[in-house]
Amino acid sequence: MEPTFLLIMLLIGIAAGILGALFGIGGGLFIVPALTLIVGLTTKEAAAVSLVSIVATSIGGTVFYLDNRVANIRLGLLLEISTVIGAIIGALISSYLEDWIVTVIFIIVLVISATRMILGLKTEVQDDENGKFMFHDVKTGKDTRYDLKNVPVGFTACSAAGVISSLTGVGGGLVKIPVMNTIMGVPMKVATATSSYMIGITAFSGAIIYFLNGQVILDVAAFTAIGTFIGAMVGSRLSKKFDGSSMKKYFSILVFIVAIMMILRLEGIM
Amino acid sequence: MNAEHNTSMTLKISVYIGIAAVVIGLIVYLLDMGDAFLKAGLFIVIVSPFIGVIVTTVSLYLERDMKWVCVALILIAISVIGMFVK
Repeated sequence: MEPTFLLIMLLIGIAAGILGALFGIGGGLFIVPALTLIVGLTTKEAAAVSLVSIVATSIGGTVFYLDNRVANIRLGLLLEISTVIGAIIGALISSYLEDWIVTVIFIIVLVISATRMILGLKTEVQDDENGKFMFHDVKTGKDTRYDLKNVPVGFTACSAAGVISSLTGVGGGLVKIPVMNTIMGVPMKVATATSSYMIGITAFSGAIIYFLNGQVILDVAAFTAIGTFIGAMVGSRLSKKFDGSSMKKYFSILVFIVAIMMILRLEGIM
Repeated sequence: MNAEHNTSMTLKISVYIGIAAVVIGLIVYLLDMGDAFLKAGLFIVIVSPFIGVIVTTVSLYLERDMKWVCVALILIAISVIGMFVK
């Protein structure tokens, strides 16, 4: 591959890593369109590369959340059972789907993600003194006890996150966070942290199938993974200096533009 | 040491080793000396979260948190099955 393309892939990775760390996303929303629109990969090839990079990005966030004991590791393990089943199903059916169908699914994911970011939907969880789990908010100093509600519904819903993740190369936080927060009654910060922990495992279960089946383009995946790793380190330092959540709305506009570009590419206009 | 700390340390060490191997592998690959290192590096990066789950399971076992050990073992079993699915 041309050195220019290799440099572009490294830069795509760095940008995805920074955005991932700043906005708490896996980076797939940025990597997949960049690799298809700029480098010219098919959506399926880009999804395979993206999943490898998401593993590298998610670990940075996960380590931070685990060290601060925000992520609920037990809840993550439970929900990952159905998510991994979904991810395996997604990776398997991707072999039988036309690339344009995967692209359409990805565009839908982009639009829903952008809409959620603009609306900033979240459910406030009240302290439950009989709750089995406790979360200490370092910023407010407040302890919140909570219990898990609607576990069977949340468990089933997470399988959808797995299918979407391995089909399209995104982390699946789009489904996991609202499921944990709104359906299962988990505080938003815990849901975000637990999702970060889960994203790595979900990405692993999709990526390993692509990798063992020889569907990962090695040099592209290597440059992008190195880039996201560097980007995640830079992004995590930047996130301490300013609050990324206030920039989420601007990022969502970019996601909408990317969705339009993907539609134009699908129509053969780009 | 609790499950969270052990998992965090494992993820950190595993991904650092993986990325280092990817960098070395990429140099070897670009010098037309084969892709074995590159494949090994990417494999280590990809399996890092899975190694994390194994360490979590052992830590939960040491904490005698058997309910969650069972949950983790089911997840490991499904993940292993997934690796062999073509």
